[in-house]
Amino acid sequence: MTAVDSVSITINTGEAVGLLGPNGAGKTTFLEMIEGITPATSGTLRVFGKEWKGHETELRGKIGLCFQETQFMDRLTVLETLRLFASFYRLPSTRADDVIGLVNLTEKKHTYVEQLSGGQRQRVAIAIAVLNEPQLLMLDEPTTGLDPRAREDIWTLIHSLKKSGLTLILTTHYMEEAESLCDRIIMMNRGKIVTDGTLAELHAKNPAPTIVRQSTLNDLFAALTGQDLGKS
Amino acid sequence: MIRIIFTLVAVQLKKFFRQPAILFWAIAFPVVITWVLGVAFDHNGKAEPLKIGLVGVLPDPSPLSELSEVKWIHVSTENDVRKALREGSFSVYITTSGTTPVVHYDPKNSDAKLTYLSLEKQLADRRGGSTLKMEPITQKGARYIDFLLPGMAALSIMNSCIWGIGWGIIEMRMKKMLRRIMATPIPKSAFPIAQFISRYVVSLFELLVLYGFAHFYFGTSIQGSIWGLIAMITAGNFAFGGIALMVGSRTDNTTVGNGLINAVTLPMMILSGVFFSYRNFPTWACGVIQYLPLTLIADSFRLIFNEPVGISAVALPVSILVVTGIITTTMGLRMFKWH
Repeated sequence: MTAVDSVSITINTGEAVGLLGPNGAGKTTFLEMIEGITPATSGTLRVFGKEWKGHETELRGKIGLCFQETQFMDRLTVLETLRLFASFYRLPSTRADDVIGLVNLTEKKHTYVEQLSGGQRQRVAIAIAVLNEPQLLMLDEPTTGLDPRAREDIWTLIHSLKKSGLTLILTTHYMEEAESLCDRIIMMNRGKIVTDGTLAELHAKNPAPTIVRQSTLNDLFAALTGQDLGKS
Repeated sequence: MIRIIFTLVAVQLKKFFRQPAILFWAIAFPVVITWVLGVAFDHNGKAEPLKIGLVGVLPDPSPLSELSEVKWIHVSTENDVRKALREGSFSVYITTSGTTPVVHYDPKNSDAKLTYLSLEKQLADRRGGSTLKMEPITQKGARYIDFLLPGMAALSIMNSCIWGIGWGIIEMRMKKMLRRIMATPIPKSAFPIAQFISRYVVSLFELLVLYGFAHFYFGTSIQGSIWGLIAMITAGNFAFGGIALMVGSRTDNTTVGNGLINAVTLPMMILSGVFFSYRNFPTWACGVIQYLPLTLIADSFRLIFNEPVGISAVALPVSILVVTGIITTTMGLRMFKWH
């Protein structure tokens, strides 16, 4: 099965890019290819101008990742978990305390991760992703399965991270999430890119279906693929 | 209602027969174990002869020499007796230095007690009364606990490594933690090294607790070289660490993982003479069994615990375990799947 097919894009420093598409569109595989986890069977992939082969350690030190549904070690507190990952990046353990403050989990730092709510666990995952002060942050469906309040908390957190100037790649199937967090949207379907542009460009491509409402990304996606992702 | 029950039964049966791993454990494994144990204890339909050690020569005439259902294992020195007891070649032996043969066994060893009672019954059936004099084995190194404790210590190393490392890795892969770790700049060798070291520390602690209990409760002590014991613990952990790495190297399915772990541990637990001597198996099987990692550790532990031997006495099993560890670790790392 070809999960990602003939994709050709360049993502510039400081951009916040949203990868949108239905389940099975190839978003996660595409992200895994950028992460260096799934190798591309053909073509070239460069991160910070370098290919993965031979530059793994350097590139991993510059990238922060937040996977879908990562679970953490049992019987480890938030602080212990972050200190563990800080050691992987050869960072001082005090960095864990700093990041816990950044994701507003100071009160929970001595709580076992498995005892946290879904939203709090996701904040731990994001805290791990930003431990190494990455230049490129990749978030794979960071709010899937969270309640609206927890989702808003994560959005606020991502907004604050964006201010530091890092490059952000985010996969989601929530249209409003992409609209809220991303400057540029890449829509995927069946492994291919169906459209790519800034929000303004995409809105311009797809005029409002009615006089009283501005077109949404969902309208555009439906027009391009014949599928309706619906609202979250 | 009947349709619902019928559908539910059909679904349960489909679930069962569509999982090869469960099919193996539920159907094939009991058959295999039955065959193995059947072969081990089969005596062509006859009752198993009593294996009894004999120090010296039975007086002539003696009621004992008339017994046909006894297999006499002749030993000449006290050292031979201790070795045979340690290896489980027999659990009861008879000395004939006086006018009346004296039967020696550990009354706390149920197998030995059964052998003694069977012997006594055979004599009573023939003579109408037993003339056996019994003397319990109380000296350290010859009791059942001295056979059992080293086996349990070896078993503890195996279980600690296979479940701690093998199962731990499978669980981490299943929870996508391995993938998360792989996405950091961690040197890949650091992960298995940390697994081995942490398991070694846990293993030392477990053995210390087990030995401490046996020492204070049963009065067991270590007669042989402490360095030999440490070498054996280290080599055993390394060998089973490598095996565990292989077991956990690819799968992220707990059913398959469970099956793999049981496939490795259960045969050794049954064959390697942890609870009873593997000398009951056919000679050709013993030739293989004695080189299984668990057997090597259990036999060496028995030697070190019960005999005043030096480190050189365990040099061969340590070497075999180290080579096993090198091969299995290399293969495990080559097969290893991070996600």
